Amino acid sequence: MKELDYHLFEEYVSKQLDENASIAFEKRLLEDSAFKKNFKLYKDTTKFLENKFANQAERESFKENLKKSSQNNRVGLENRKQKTTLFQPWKIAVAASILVIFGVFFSQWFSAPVYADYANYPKISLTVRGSQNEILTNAEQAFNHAKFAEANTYFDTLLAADSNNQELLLYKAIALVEINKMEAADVLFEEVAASESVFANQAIWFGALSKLKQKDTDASIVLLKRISEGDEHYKQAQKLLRKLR
Amino acid sequence: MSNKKIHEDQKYVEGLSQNNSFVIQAIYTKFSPKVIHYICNNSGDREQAQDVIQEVLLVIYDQAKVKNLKLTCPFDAYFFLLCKRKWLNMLKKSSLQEVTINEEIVSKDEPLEELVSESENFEEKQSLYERMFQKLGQACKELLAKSFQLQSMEEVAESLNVTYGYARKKKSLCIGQLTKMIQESPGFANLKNPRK
Repeated sequence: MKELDYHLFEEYVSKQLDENASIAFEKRLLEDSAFKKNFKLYKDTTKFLENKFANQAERESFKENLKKSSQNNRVGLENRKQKTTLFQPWKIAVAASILVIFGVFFSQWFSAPVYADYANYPKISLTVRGSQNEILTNAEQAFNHAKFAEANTYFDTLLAADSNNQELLLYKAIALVEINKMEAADVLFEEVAASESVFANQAIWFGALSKLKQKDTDASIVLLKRISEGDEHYKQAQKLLRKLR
Repeated sequence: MSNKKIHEDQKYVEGLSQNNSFVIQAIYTKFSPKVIHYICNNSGDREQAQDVIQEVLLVIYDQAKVKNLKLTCPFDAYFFLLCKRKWLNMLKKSSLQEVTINEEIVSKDEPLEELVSESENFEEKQSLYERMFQKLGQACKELLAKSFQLQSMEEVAESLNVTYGYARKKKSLCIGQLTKMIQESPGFANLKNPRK
């Protein structure tokens, strides 16, 4: 391949060629298979470099997020494992007897699950998509630092320009629950839950927690029952259901 | 690819490419136990399973970013098969000679196999490109890094204290040199035909 061809590839990729030169370039692509093959590799390599350098910070942030989720998952699995190995059948009988005796006295303490026990959500990440802007950064930081009233204001600004963004709607709904604007939150949870987005299941789960915070047990149960076996919150939902019934 | 129907589970791919914590956690909760179970039953442990899962999710992320990955089958099956094949390849490459593999029935799902092969091919390609990039001279590495990190070639030229014209020409030559090294590398020919 000649040096001039590489330069031509670059000019075409970065849209620096004028109309006539572009037409000539595309004509050559059709007629010269070696030229076409080399151009394809040049484009592939450019994409690789773009992902490696232009998206470097974004990719590092993704890797960090993966590590955190992996760690959370590991801890969750370990806890589950410990629970299952600790309780042998004979121990269950003993534990059950003790629970029956003490349960009567402490039933008030154990029988009322509260919102705070379940309201754990991961840190959100809004600033990693292409064009970064200040409002996204502020919204993300406010939410992640539990400044929910502030986050809510930023979400409003963002939603004004992108009203159908299910992700923002979900985060806004969570923020609203945290600042006790329950009715508005429930409307948003319903909207996201009815969507076909990846956030629909999350909206049902957090919607159920919203009802829990409002001490509306019946409504919470209805929502928890909508969480099907394949959903990520199924096990938590089942546990909460048992406590609520 | 373009004529195939995109599966509704594309939402997981989108969530990964957007680095969405909720989606990442959902994937871990829903899909990782099956992978962990498989690896633990096939000469591995939980730590190794977590490493495989992380590597596979990173490949999906990269493929979504670079190749605009479109899912044409359920995420569960795609993710599991990628993890499983990665683990089996790791076992083959490792020095451990005695391994127990409780093999399940091999998938006969053609779209799934095709998609998984594409992802594996993509990963090999990225790995080859990275190895070749590391072999470039320091000057090219620096210029290419700045070319993609800075907003304009004017800024690149200024930061490297060269003329704008030189920076542009050098960029195309460095990428050209990289493509030549990639083409001449022994692994390049294998990339063209994804494994069946």
